[in-house]
Amino acid sequence: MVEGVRTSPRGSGGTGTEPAGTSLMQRVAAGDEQAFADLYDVVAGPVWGVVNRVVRNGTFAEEVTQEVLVEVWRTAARFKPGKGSTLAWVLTIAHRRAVDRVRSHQAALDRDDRAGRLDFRRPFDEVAESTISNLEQQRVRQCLSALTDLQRESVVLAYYNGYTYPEVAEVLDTAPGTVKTRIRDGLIRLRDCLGVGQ
Amino acid sequence: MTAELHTLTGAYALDAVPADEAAAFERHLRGCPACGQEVQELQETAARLGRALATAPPPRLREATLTRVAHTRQWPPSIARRGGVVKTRVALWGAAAAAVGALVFGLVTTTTEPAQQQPLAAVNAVLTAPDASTVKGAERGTTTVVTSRSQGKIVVLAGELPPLAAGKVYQVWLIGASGARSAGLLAPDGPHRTRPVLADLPGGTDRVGITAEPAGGSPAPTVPAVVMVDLA
Repeated sequence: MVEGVRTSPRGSGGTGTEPAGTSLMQRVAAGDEQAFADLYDVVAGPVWGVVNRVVRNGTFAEEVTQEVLVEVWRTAARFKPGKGSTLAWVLTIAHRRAVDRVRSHQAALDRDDRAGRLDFRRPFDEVAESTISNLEQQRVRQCLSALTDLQRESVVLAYYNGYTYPEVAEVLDTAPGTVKTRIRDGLIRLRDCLGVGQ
Repeated sequence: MTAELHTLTGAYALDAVPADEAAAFERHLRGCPACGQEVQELQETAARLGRALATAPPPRLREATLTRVAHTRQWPPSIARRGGVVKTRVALWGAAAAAVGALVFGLVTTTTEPAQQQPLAAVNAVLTAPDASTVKGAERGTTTVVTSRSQGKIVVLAGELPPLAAGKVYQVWLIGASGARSAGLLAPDGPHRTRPVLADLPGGTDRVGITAEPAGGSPAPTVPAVVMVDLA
């Protein structure tokens, strides 16, 4: 049942979309619009969450979310089931699109303004009322809190705020090379803590 | 694998690598399966950070998206690309000069017949105009539009488009409040490339569209656009 995929804490890979997601993707890739509607119901919430967080503008977020989902439809045949989960593939597209939108449309915004929007704790509080992913949030929050401060801040600023690693370095007043390695170290620890790829 | 480049896997998985560096890293990725594996795992990890943000989107988005999908052609499976791992990084504004340079270079090197020197020189003049403004379409396989108001010209470089049915041709449209005007047909230039289209830029043009039309083109678009680029 498609609806359950969204929250079901499936054992192994943890991202949970495999059994339904893969066959869904095959049908989507074959041009099945009903299958796409089902896929929409599975991925639109996470896509919207990511895009809205990074773009921070409701109108832009709707545009980008729609572009992401149309791209998923258009390029569905290029999804390789062996190379990761459906949701990860979709969210990789979503994050990339959101970041591109922010970087091209807000290039004119000065850094002070961007820095002024910083807050490492807000991402989760903003969605505290959401019921779909509370368990997932707790898990992610737990794993994030197990990182060093610099690892956590670097990962959060890069992913949730859409900063490049040199921008993160500037905001945190740290050497770019240090931020680069902390992002990798932090993600590897998150990967292990969340049980990704086991 | 180069240790220096390899440490970029994390930042790359978070789309946090500046454009020029990302291009170098992607070249490295193609020859480094271990790096590709790590990027994929870290993208999977990043997706968990993303999934924790899941919230219901505005309800109107569902129907709007499904309607758009019903009019959108799908791409065939990729032959050369490794889906989801190696991605074409759109050149960002910091790299604008380099991007235009690369375009010009690419155009010049594809020129063999003297007959094409003239239009290509005109294309290059637009690409290198001091007021050249570049907009990239949002789709993957990006279409690039360069306009120069001082020259009153527009250049459209189509990205990767779906294969055409027999007897069809891609036509470029300049769209404004007064409707769509043809900018010309896309001529093939190799298996996955088309020649740039150069046209006069009508005032008020705010979008560029590409449609699949019957051979010879149409006076006005007859089908929904496969690519739409917003110039605003």
